[in-house]
Amino acid sequence: MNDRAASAPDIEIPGPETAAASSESVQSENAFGVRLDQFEGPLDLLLSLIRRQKINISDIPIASITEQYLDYLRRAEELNIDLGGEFVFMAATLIHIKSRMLLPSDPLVPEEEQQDPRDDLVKRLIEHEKFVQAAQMLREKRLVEENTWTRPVFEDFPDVDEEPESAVGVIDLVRTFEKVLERARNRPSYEVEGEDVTVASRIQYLKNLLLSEDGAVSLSDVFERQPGRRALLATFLALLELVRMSAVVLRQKKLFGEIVIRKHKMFDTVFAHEESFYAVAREYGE
Amino acid sequence: MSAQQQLPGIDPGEKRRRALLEAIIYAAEEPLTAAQISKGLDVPLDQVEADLRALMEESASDKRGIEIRKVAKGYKMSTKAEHHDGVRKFVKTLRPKFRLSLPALETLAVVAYKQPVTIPEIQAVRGVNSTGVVSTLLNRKLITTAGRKAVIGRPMQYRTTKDFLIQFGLSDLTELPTLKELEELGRSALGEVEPAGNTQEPEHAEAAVE
Repeated sequence: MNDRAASAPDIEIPGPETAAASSESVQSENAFGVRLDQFEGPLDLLLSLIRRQKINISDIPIASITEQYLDYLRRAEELNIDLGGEFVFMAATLIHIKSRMLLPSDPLVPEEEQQDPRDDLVKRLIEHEKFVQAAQMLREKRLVEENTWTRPVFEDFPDVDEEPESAVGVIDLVRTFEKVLERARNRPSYEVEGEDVTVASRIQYLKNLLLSEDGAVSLSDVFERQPGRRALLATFLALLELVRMSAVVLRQKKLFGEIVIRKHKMFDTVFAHEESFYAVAREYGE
Repeated sequence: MSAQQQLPGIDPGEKRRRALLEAIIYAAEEPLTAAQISKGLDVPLDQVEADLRALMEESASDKRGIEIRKVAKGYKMSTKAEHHDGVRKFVKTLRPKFRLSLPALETLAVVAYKQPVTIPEIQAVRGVNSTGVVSTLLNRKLITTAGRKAVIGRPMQYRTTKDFLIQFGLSDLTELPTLKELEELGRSALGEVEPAGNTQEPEHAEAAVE
């Protein structure tokens, strides 16, 4: 694994084509064929400048690095590349450090307490570089995983996994709900004023639905069946309550797949205790 | 079967149990934990763990093309990575490749090491807007939300998921190199020969990464 540590700094092809090895730089080209490396952020750009010149990170020649940094910004501007505010902010930081380096040190502060104006920047660069290394490490781990195979998945293997992570998360739920709301907005609503939709009644509704449909229904189907926005919202809240009480579970067969509402093994137990539903109704002021 | 034919210390019951464990790990869809197997088979946990260790050792041998590995705190059976070239020729349905860009990997690394972490904290490390990458990682279920931070604005916090461990073949988060080891890697990558104020030998960091 020696080469991992060495690979990043050792790549140095002179000239503007230097692809910053660890920042996977993309190059921009304008009509005249002028090329410019692209960096994700100012820290990547600075690290590339430092690597290219084999500068010791704890002793950055701030004047020349600032010059090169500004030169990059000028070239980007000529190519009409919008670099974003963080690049400009870093330019200001560099100039500020440069001017502080020019000031004589405070004679009243003992020498060992004198702070190098570059310290903060160096700290940030090293912190960033740590995660550039970590990204490389993850990439290698992923590469190994990509080259292993497990046996093809049996579709109907019993559900051994009871951990919430492979179950549906809040984000999936909200995403589905957003889609349904979006569609609901675009279709004529036949909502009746003063219609009696309560969270408690929607809980009963979901219970009956699950009982009649063999213990599993598709989430978007349920949402689509709601007559109006009030009913939608009440159903959504009812569903959250049922998940909270462990009466139902939400499952997703695959990433971005259809979400299914299924009876939890506590389903019957939960519905045997009616008081908890009165408590829900009270909470919503029903 | 006579006692002489058995390996020392392995009684027929144990042998059978190990074979069964192997079969279960083969058939399971997700890495099974020793606790899940112990509960399902009604076999004491320490026995299951000992059996699994023996199975892992056995499968690690060069004679075997399939190995049992610890992934996401559970056990998983897969072909060995070193045979990928040969195996690939016979795999009909190639899994859809999921390749993360370096910015995405970097963001994932920040979450893995600093979790629970907020988007502003991620941005402070990366020096660049990271909202888009975070939502990619959320969509891929490599990270998930981890409550709100009790500071002004109550920003959402994020953490890595079990899927992350599975996709990157990690047994748990402690398997990642430490931040200190990363810092040494980083410093040497930035051409600093002598890590300042660090007495650790550079070989240490590299050995630990392997």
